Amino acid sequence: MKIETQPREDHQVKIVAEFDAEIMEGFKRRAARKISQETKIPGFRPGKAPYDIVRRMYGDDAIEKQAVELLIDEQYGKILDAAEIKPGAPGSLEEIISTDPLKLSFIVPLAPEVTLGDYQSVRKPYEAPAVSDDQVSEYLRRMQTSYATAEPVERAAEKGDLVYYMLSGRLANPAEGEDAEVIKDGPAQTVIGEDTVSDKDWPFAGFSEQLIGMAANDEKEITHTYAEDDSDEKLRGREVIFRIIVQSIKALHLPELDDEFAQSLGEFTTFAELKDSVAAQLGENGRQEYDQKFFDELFELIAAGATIKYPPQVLNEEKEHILEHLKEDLSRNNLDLETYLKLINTTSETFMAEQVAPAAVKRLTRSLLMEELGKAEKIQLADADVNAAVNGSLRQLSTQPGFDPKKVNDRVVNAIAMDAVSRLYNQRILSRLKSIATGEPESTPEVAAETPEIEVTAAGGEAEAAEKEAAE
Amino acid sequence: MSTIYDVLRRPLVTEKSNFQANRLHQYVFEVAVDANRTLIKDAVETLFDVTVLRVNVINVTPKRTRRARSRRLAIRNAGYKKAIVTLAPEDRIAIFEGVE
Repeated sequence: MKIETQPREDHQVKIVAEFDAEIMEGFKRRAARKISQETKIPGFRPGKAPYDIVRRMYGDDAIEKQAVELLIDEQYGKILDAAEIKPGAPGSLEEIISTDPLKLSFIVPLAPEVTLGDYQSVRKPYEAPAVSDDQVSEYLRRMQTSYATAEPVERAAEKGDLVYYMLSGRLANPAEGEDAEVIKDGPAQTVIGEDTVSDKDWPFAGFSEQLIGMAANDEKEITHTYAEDDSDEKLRGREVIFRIIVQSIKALHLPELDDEFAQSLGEFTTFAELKDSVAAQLGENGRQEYDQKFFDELFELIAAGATIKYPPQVLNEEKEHILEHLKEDLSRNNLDLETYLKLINTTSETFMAEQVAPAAVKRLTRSLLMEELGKAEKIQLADADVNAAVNGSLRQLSTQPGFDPKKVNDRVVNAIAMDAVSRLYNQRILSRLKSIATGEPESTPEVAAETPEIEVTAAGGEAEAAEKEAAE
Repeated sequence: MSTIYDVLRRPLVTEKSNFQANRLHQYVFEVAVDANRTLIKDAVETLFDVTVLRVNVINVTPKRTRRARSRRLAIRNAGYKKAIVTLAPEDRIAIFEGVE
């Protein structure tokens, strides 16, 4: 067997392999046996026809074709070993250059190669946003309104009241043939002054203010001209007449923000506890958001310093992955991809090129970098951590509604274990990166010294397998 | 009375005849029903230029079978005469051994 390799530009390698006549002869015999096994030759039981008879029935071409197939199946691994190539995806037979002697050429995508640049010197300050008192009090105020009790009143509407009314809207001077109706006559409700804060007032900002002073069964017409830069294109610069008939008014009694209110929520005993928990929750949300941004930018910095090479097949795989996710998401909303593409008004080609491809590149570089960083930083997981993570995930699953213990088989458990372990692993890498980027002194991780051997418990065996896979 | 040129109808190539040809130097033909050992020996010796040591002849009886489409209809396939020709050890007949 003679082997030549020619590297190609797109991180693939072309291998030309030449085989000895004897090897080929052996495979021809096997091919003939296979043909006689699969087809019917009169006078012979399946698989019993001799080589010459098969040759006379089906010809040399058929045997050769079969032989090459068998040979590739069996020898491909040896070829890769001999050529000392680590494939990143299944290779393909490019062409059969000659059959006598047999000469084949393959195109083999190489495993992605990552050379980390000087990632140790990448510095990026980490400043998690602090939660301000305003945010907390705003959140509490919202809670207050959502727990408010409504009570019908016989008076004019005031700020903070809940007003039920019928609303219809039509264009003041519609164009010829245009449907004048903007809002169909229908019931609506508003808490006066509630939405002005968050700028979500509907149908236009400051609308609810117009309701102040109206009593039940009052009627009112308001004319509003939309701004030229309104978010609704149809209404830009148009004059619309709204007609309001108030039906009923309810006063909202806000609960006092005190211990009693906190207790009514169940989990808290004092108001201070509630406030702390809100602050912690808000802080957590803000931190997560900031983390995502922080690591996105950090990875961009690291990627700029590193060289990453991968064959197009790997990228395609990633693209398919993304598409699949998208399809899953869409099917949850009863959409399929074609409809979605029509909705956002693109073709599948431009969508692939503009949306999927950059996302795939980003995800791929990130995952490759993560993997390499994990190796470079020698991040290992201790058995206890792994077990804790896996058990935690399983416990979480078992508390979910619709959980059926019968459906949990080994595969599901394995998948969950994999997921839990890889998440933990990634967390470790990210926290290490963070400490590098913020310039904290390097601390040798206490788990690095431990061997990754895990005592085989019920979950341990799977976790170990999962860990190995995660590390690969 | 047939001549030696219409004695041999066709070679019979089956798993069994293949074994006989390879191991026992016996070659199997379907022959005319009115042929006899002498004629078969002459025919094989003349046509294939070999030495025949022995000729065994058997009348293969017609067998009852059923038609493939209408399974009720029993039919009979034709019988034939089969000759098993033993050659001298150094001789061989090429048509039994694949493409020449």
